[in-house]
Amino acid sequence: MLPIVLLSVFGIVVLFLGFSKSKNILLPATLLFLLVTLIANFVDWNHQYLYFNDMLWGNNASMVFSGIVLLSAFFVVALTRGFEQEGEAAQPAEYYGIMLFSLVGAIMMISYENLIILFVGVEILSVSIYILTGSDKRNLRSNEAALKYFLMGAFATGIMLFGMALMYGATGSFVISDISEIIGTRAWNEQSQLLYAGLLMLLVGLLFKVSAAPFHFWTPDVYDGAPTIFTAYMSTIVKTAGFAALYRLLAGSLASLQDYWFATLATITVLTLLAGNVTAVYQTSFKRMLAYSSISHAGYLLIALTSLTAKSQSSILFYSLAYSLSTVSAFGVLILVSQQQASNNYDAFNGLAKKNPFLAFVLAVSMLSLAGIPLTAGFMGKLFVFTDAAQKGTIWLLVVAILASAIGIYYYFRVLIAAYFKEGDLATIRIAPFYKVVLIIVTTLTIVLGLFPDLVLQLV
Amino acid sequence: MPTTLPIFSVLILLNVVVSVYLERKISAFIQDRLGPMEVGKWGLLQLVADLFKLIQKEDIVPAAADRWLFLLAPFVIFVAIFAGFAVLPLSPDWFGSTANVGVFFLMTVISVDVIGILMAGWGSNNKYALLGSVRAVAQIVSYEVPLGLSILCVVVTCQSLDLQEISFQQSIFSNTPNYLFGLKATGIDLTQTGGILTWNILRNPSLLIVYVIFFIATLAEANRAPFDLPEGESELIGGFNTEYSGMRWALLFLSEYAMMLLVAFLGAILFLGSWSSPFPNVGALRLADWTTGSPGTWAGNLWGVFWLVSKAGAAILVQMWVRWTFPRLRIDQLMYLCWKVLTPFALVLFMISAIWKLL
Amino acid sequence: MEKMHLPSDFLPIFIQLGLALGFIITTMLVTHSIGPKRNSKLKDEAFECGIPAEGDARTPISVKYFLIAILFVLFDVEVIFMYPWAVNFKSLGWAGFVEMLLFMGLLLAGFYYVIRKGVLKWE
Repeated sequence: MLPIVLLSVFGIVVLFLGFSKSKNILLPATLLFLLVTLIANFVDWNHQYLYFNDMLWGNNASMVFSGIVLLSAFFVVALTRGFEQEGEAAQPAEYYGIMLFSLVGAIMMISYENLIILFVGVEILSVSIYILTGSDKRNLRSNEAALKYFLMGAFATGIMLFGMALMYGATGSFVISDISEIIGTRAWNEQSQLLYAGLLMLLVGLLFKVSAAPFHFWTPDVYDGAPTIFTAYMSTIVKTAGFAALYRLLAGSLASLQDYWFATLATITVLTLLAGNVTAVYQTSFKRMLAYSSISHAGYLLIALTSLTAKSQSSILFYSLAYSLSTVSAFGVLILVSQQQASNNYDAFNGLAKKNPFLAFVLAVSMLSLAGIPLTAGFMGKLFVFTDAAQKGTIWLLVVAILASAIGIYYYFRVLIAAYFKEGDLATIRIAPFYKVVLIIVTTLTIVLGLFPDLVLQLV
Repeated sequence: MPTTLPIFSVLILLNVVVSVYLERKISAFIQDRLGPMEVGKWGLLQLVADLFKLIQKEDIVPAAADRWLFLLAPFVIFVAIFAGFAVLPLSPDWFGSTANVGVFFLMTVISVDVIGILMAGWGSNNKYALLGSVRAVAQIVSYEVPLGLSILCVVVTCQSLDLQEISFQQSIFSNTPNYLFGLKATGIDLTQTGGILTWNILRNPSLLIVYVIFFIATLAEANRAPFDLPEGESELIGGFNTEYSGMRWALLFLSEYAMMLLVAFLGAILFLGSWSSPFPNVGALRLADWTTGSPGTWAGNLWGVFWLVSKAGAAILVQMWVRWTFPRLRIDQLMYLCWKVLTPFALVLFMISAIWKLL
Repeated sequence: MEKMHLPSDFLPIFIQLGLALGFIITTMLVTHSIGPKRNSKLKDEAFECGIPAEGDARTPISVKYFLIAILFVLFDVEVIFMYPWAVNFKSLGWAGFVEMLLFMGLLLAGFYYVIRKGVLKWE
């Protein structure tokens, strides 16, 4: 609860800081606010709480999820150095403010107890992201992306709301624990048909947000069109929050119906894995490839969700963290390179290792982690997820996932090949010290978590 | 039994006839002219002649217009404003709908007006009409904020959304005690004294200022001068009225006057004691009792109607007086007045009203 | 005045709507039956001070109008939130009052922000 209140207040404060003469205060202020919130987030550690008339619920896991979201936000905001000088059309205070507000939505999505709060959270997060997507006001592609995302997102949210209404009709409650109780009293074939329709619609809405196939069509265009920094932002935060919300919904209230939704979700998982990985192979733009990669990672996360074993939550948590870290560093490198080359394509990375060994190393770690090569966090994440599937006994799902990761290696390595083995005219890129520190921390974390995953796992 | 419906239906039509004549005579008086003099004695039958003329006129739909929008717009505007009368009380015993959300319903139904205006402007497919309707919408929508806040001040004082309940509280029939200026601390119980002393403007003196805000906002809501930019005949010909002719135009015209009447009634009910008499009981001089009658009897009803209609009529006269005295505002002045003067003031007064009630 | 509130309380509103529609239909029927109908190309053109109409009437409109519309949505929703509070605030006591103050404070902060941003600058 505290982080929600703090972030709301801080968001307003940042908006008003924008009126002050010196724009340089904005970034440190936002970082400070995020840090304070991150600390405040863990105030209730080892307690389980219900807040606001049982609207919000919190335990250690939800706090760690919020922590991941806040941490990724912190890193992304730290990488925003530079967009303050984008001319008078830029509104840094607004962007920072909206980022802080969007985190309120993300945290609400993570720790909801009442479906209404889930809806409000999804809306706060989505609306903020729509705006951020279109923040490059003079760029037609950014505008297009924002509009596309907004229209489709609005529909998805609408469908989700319909789903909630139907679930309410079936169970007479919006509260997660009540719904679970009511469902538990009946066998799966005695449930109201409204419940199944509602569940399906609710899933569609949420799966849209995490860009699972077949609801992923917006992802490439939106990720490509949005300013890179905000692409990094949405690919980490929305995904983490979305999966936390999905897990809370499925595990919290619908676990007893797993037999029912398993087939649907498993199909979606396979579709997502295939759609993401196969299409990613054909991309020439690194940024667009990352968009497809985000779809495929949604697929891996869905495996843990579909299996829904006792360990699912910790695997989703670890995977989200690993994915967020690698994504942040990949986008961090992309921002620097594309500033130099004015291109997001693989070719832009040609010869990166010659003059910029540090960036090439960061990129390498991040790509290895995304591809799931041992000694990185991404590998451990995949390992946990696959273990879940094996426990559940869905070997065919496992086979698809492993094949998909094999494809993944191909396109993740393409950029590394460009960086290490191709000739290019990339000059030395000047990296601001702070930027460098962030990249170092993220990369270190990726490796450390790859070696000692228990550091995070024992928290939950 | 909602007795008021037929009465109001007649009253709305009667009001147009009377107030159009009055308006022309008053404007003539203010501008030192004679006004209509030809038809009938002092031009008294002018309006009747006008009505017959209008009803015979051709109903023209421009070729470029969006036919359905154009045709339906006057209906939407008229029906919306007409329906607003359904919740107004007329006397202690004569009331319309007893829905306990009367004030809310009124605000809602007035807002529907905006849709009609936009339909008219867009449907006409005429530059003046579109400009006029966009201005009208911006204006009505903006002034709804101070209007809503000023009504809120009354609601906070009366703790009710039911217009009849609000009326009763201001009368000698109030079943909650009324103290001087609404302050229990003064210890002066005025419940049996009644009259002007228990009107809302004196039950909470800050409502006096609120009434001014309410009055200005309602002028703008009704598109009356000095807020008649949407029609601004010298620049926009007739605004969203431009392309209308015959009876359809008459409906728009009727709606404007019905709106004037509606907000005049609303102001009288919310602030000026509704149907209760302005004279208080002073000792043996039972002025309030004499000029109120007892509820349920014909005397009671007629006194109630008399007082309420007189108060509303007075408000309409002031509306006309304002129209012919002040020049039209510029759009930037309009927005300045609404957002930077009326809204903050209304917010502060709302807070004062709430604190006053808690005292 | 404690009284029961029933859905039938809303009936007069519908009667009133019916009356309004009845009035409209009658007058429209009358005016259509006795009024002339003579169309001509010139007469059916959009009016533009007597000169031939130029271009499309639906030209882009200043963005300020849209900002006003959005502001209205915000403020009107806030005002609507205050109505239920206003009816009940005595029973909510000082705690309810403080909550409303907080709400208004946020609203005013936003209002100040809007003014500082120059959204309401029409000159």
